[in-house]
Amino acid sequence: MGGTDASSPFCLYQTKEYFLSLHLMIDLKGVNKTYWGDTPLVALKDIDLHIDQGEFVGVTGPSGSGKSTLLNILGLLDSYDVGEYRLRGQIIKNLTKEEEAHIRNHNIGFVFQRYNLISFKTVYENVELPLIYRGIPQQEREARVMDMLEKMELTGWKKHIPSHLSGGQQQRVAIARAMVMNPKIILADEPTGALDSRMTREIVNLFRKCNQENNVTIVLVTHETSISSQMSRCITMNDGRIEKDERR
Amino acid sequence: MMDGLRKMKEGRLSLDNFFKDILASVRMSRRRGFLSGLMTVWGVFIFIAVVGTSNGIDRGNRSNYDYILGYILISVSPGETSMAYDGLVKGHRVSLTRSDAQELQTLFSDRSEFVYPRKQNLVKCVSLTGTAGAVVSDYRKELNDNVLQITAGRNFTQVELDGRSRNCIIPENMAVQLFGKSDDAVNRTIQVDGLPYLVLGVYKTLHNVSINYVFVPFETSMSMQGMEDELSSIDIKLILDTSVEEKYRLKEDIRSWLYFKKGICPDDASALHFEESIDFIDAQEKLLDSIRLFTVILGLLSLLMGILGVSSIVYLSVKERTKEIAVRLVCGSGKGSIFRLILGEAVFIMLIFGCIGMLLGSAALKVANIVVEKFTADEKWIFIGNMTVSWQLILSCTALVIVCGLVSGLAPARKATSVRINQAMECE
Repeated sequence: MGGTDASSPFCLYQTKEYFLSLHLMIDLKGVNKTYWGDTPLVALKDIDLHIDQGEFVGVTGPSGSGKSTLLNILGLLDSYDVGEYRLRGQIIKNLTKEEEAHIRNHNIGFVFQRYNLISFKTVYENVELPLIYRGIPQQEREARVMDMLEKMELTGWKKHIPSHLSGGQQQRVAIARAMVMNPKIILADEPTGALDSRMTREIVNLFRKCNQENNVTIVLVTHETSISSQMSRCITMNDGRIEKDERR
Repeated sequence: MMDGLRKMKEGRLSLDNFFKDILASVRMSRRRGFLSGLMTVWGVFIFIAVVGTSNGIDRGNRSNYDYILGYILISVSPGETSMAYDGLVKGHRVSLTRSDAQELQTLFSDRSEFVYPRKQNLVKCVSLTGTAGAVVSDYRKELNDNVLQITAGRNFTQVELDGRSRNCIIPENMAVQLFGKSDDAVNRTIQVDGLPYLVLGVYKTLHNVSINYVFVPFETSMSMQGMEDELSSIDIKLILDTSVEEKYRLKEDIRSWLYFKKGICPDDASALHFEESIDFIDAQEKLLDSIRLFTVILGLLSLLMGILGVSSIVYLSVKERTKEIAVRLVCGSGKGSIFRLILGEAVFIMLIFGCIGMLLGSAALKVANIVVEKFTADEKWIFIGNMTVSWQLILSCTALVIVCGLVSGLAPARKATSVRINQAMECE
């Protein structure tokens, strides 16, 4: 193996980068993003970010600092202009919409501030939706949805539509929907923004539980420093740049 | 293999979930669905109603052809040669005989419905109180029954028609002329061409048909004025659905055959006279074609309204459901799945409400048929016949509705697949 040609695929297995990449979940190098409107708006400037598997990362910063843009790029909901983004080692660039959907479906769970549940579907059906799109058979779906609803203490609400639930319960449904696919990463954009302090605590605890029990990488965008301070790593953004990256 | 199957299903909804989602979405937006449905119902209803009415007009007119048999006849009557040819001198009177009629019947039996030998004579009719000049014609049940109505007395019996009895039926005006009153003519005797005839009945013509003959049985008519074998004309009744081209072809074939048999120059236009109602039928057919085209265009325009209605409402629905679509995409839905879902919704709305439109249209035609039948029960001349639509049309309409659904859903479905997830998530 020692004389392996540099162009050979075996070469990769010998590098330090490869061993590091086994745990590397998100790897951004020099990522830039500009919104080209009447007046171009630079949303992200030279972002270098490495997030390992199982990290619980809080992204904070003032409004317009680029938090949501970063999250959108991480979640393949938006594209970047310059730089390189690797998700679990795979370069995310020039993918078709179907490929993006496939990667999202297999790796990423999303939680949004406004819950974004489908209003005419029941709690059960909302949680079941990603499993349907994954092509999982009905029996397996049922088992996984019921298991997740039980974990989120929502079993009694499974036949209700979202509007029957409180904000905290709806966010729990959204988390259940994100978790049901056993994603590697959960991207949460201001998930507590619409909740009161008690609900906020409850939801943050739920994220922590998911992170600890399932070793899921969580990237949570929040403007509340009280929340970001509870996380093992806190990234502060300002004016499209990473201003601070603190590990605790 | 299971993995392969799962991969195939990835990003798309299973069939049961596909229909479940469409139903749920339609249920969710009942009012919107109802509105778009209403436009579809209206469009399809109008389509079925106008096509059914067009069919009714078509049938009505066709039944009238059948009814006024005179309109679908080729009538050949004798003339004189205008040029010498093959031993015939110019001015030779060409006659038509019973055997000509019989041979025509045999030769063209598969292309014509019937060949009638006809005999008419110009005579003088005399009663005790009056005199009238008249044409005596043979009575043909098939040709005359429908255009004559007996107003006093009775019509011929079949036995009388088959024989050589000296009975007749006369028109009302002649009855008045000869006897002063219609009723007075019945069972009275008149002198026709010097021989006594019993008046069985008095008739009037229907539907502006202008006939003023004294009718007698065919054999009786043939026996008058001495020329027992010679016919006044041969009337050929055409098969009802014969195309105009075939009618002209048949006329030409009959002409050629008679000219050949009689040894007449093919270019001689006056040796035999042909009268036909083909031009009239042709004009009628063209009129019906125009009506049919107009109604189909009208129907299609109504359907187009339905398409535009459904399209705009589904488009609106897509706009309203931008967030839901984005959620689906985030949950792993492929764009194709979203495309199919929106298209499916449009087709579903069009199909369900299209079927309602078809049912209502068919029901309306049924009611219209009952009403028309009630008001035209005594009429033999029908403008509108049975207004129905065929199963083929219903099936075609269903297919058309599905196509319309696809067309109306196309733009909204494309719009749905162009949703930018990150922007859609920020929508309220």
